[in-house]
Formats: sequence, structure tokens, C-alpha cells
Amino acid sequence: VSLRRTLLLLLPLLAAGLASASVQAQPLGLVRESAVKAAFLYKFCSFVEWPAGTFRGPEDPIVIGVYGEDAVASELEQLARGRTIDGHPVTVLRVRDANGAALLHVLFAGGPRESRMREVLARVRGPVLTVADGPVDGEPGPVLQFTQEEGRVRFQASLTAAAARNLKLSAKLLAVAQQVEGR
Amino acid sequence: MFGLSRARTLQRKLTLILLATIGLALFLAASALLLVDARKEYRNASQDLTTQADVIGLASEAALAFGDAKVGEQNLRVLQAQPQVIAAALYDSQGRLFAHFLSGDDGSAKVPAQAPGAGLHFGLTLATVVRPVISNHETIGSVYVQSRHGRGERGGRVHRLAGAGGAGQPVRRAAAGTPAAAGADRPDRGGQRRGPGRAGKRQLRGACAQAQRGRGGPDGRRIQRDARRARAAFSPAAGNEPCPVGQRSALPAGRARLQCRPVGLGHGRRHHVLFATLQVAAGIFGAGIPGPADLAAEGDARRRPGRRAGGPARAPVARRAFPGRVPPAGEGRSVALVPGDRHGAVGREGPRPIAWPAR
Repeated sequence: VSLRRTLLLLLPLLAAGLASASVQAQPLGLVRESAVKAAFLYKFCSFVEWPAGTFRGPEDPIVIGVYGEDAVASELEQLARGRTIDGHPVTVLRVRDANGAALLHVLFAGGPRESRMREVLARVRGPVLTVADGPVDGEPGPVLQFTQEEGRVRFQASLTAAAARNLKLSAKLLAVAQQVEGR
Repeated sequence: MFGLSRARTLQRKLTLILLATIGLALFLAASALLLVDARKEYRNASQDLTTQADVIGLASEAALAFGDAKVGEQNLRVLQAQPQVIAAALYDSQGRLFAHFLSGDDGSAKVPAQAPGAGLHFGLTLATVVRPVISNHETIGSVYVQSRHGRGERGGRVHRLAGAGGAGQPVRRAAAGTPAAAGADRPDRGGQRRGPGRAGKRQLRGACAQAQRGRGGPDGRRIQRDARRARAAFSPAAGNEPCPVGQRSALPAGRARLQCRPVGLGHGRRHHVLFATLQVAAGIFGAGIPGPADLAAEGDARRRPGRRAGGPARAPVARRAFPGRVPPAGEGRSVALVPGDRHGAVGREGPRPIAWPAR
């Protein structure tokens, strides 16, 4: 009887524990994915060559704009704090609409509304490394787009889009891309 | 000391002193030479190893940065072109094993689970190097390469390279720039294979003469036996069907594949055959095995008009030795010998291999 009573007492505790664990696991997964994407965005800058004259000097920052993914922006801010890429400091901007996408070097567009994401990407002109959080239809497509493969974050590259934006993607970057369009 | 006190005559004492002095001088000279040689060996091996690790690290920068272990392993597999490398690994920034490569011919090869400290470590037969992988002035991981080293290993390398052909063959050929016998082969220049040097030719002529005289102990007998077999293989009575070199299936699959081009010392066809055979038998040269493309290219070159008007068009590589090597014992061998004319040139019909059946 005492064993049954103990089990009856323990079961709700066990259930509560499992429920809290699952509740915690969900945001942990999201955090992980946004952290990986932020790390990827940061690393992309090392493997992209902007046209001459894009930066006036080494003190000019690389500006990374993030649209629709505040978690990625936060991770990127933490990651880039106090670090440089080829001597350039990194600045992270949270882009709220298409008009805010000017003067960027990298633009990451994500979020639930694909039409808005497409609009933001389409409005960007010049040598901007555009990165989409998933497949985006229409022209001009993003230079890079994140994909998922077996639960891992990967990315695809478009040489056509890179050439249209006057950007050079490193062969090393292309070697790890899941798919390269225009090769 | 040295019986000096027991020596009665002055002459005897002087002789003993002279002998001792010469002995000591020789010992010191030999020690110095050994030391210089060992230092040179160490320097070369460490440079080779460090360069290999740095090249792998450079190529694996993106793989480590984006966590792509598959690409990391692909990069490491490039090292299979270097048979002295027995293990290699990539570690991430936390020192965890990220990707690894173990040489197929050494089952005992292992890589550490955690990244060892950076640096070069030399053992009696093995050397390891750990180099950081740096991206954007930050260490994002490390490369570990374990390799055999030493003079003995160089000889072994040539024999290991003589394994069965396959997709990796061009890479292996390109990597086999190290002379098989000291001074016997001229080194590669800019990736172009070159024929035997003077020392190599002298060595080969000596082996020929030794075999023809029927002397030379076990090596001479082996050469004679191999020469007999090669002559038999070239004989029409042998029933070996000549086939185009391009048809790789002409030789039994899975067998070691050696294709030898007659060298052309100007002694006539039979000598060419014997020469090529001896190359295979003695395994004297080891700089590379020509593939069908090489031989076909030579065929094309042969068909082009020669520089001398009226004279027979000669392949520009007619005097180049295409070395063969002895595959490991017990593996059997299929040797494709390409008969040539007295100048070593391949006929208009192109190179034709003749399969030498396995033992």
C-alpha cells in the first residue's frame, strides 16, 4: 500500500518534470537554430569578396541587416561584438521594412511572411550578399539561402545571383554548399 | 691502450697510433655524416608534414567554419595520394574530432579522440604534426597528420604505390615523385615525368649484364626468370592477344597493373623487351606508371610529322623510361608491355599492351 501511495505521489511529479522539460526543449531548439544561422551569417562574410571601393578603409564596418528574425539578430549581435572580419568591425542592424535595407553589405531575410521577405530581398540593390531563410521564388533570387538537411542547417548558393550583384563567392564556400546554382 | 704499451718497436707503436688516429677520424666523419643526414631527413620530413597539414587546414577552413564533416573528410582523403601518411584528422575549435582519415594499408592507424597540442612530434618511425586552422585571425580547429618517415620508408613507398590501379591512380602517380633508388631516377620537374638518369641507366645495364651472364645470386636468378617469362609473353606462341591500351578490361580486374614503355637504348627490339622486363623485374625505377592516356598521347605524338624531314617521325619521349614496379608478393601480376621499334617508338597502330598472366 505504501509503495502504491509513493508511486501515486511520484507520478504527478514525474509528469510535471517531463512537461517542463518539453516546454524548455522547444525554445532551446529554436535558440540553437538561430545561433547556427547567426554563426553562418557571420562566417559568410569571410568567404565573400565585395567589389573594390565598397569599403573606404579597414575602419568601415561590415553592416549585416536582419529582417524578420530577431532571435538571429540577437545572436549575431552577441557573436560579432568586439570581433572583426578582415579588419572590418561588424555592425548588426534590425531591418523593419524594405526601405531600411539600404547601405547594407549582408541582408538576411527570414520570418513567417514569405511575401514580405521576397519584397525586402527584391528592393535591395547593389553588391549586397542576400541570404534568405528558405527557398524564395522569383527574380532576382538570393545569393545564399538556408536549407535544412537531416535536422542540420545548410545552405545553397547561386552564382548567377552573386554575379548579378557583383559579388565573388569563395570556392571554399561553394565546396560546403549543399547546392550551387549556375556552376 | 690499443696494445701501445706492449708494442716493442717504434715502428709498431707508430703504426698503432696511425691506425687509431685514422679509425677515430673515420668514426668522427661517419658520425658527422650520419648526423647531417639525420638532420636533413628531419628537416625534410618536418617540412613535408607541416606543408601537408597546412594545405589540408587551408582547404578545410570552410568545412570547419560551417560544420561540414563530409567535406572535411573529402579534404583529408586527398592524403591517400601520400602513402607515407597513415592517419589524419580535423578537430573543431573545442578539440573534438570533426573528421578523420585512416590509411587503408595500415589497420593499426588511429587518431586521438581529442586534439593533441599543436606542434611537431618525431618518433623513431612515425612523425605527427598538429597545426591550427585559422580563419579570419581566429583558430577554428586543428589538423592532425601522422606519417611514417625515414629512408627505409621511401623504398617502401614505391612498392606500396605499385598497387592495383583505379580512380586514385593519377593522384598516386603524381605523388610518386620520390626516386625509388637513391640517384637512380631523375626527379620530376613541374609534374612532368622524366626518365632514368645516368645512374639509373648504369644500374639497369649492370642488372642486364648480370642477368645475361647468369650471375648475381638470387636477384640475378629472379631477373633471369622474369626475363624468360617476359620473352615468353611476347612470343606469338604464347597466345596473348594484344589489345588497345584504352581497354582496361583487357587486363584482369583487381590485379596490379603495370604498363611499361620500352626505353630505347638503340639495341634493337629484343633488348627493348628485355629492358622493359628488367625494369619490372628489378623494380629499379619507381617514378610513375603510365596510364592509357599517356600511351595514347605518345601514339598521337608518333603520328605527328617529325622534326627531321624525310626521317621517321619519332615520339619526343621515345627515350623516356616508363618505369614499372614489382607489386607486392602474392598479389599476382599482369604486366602490359608495349612493344616498340628499335628506337623505342610505338608503331602507327598505337601502343598495344600484352598481358603477362599472373603467376
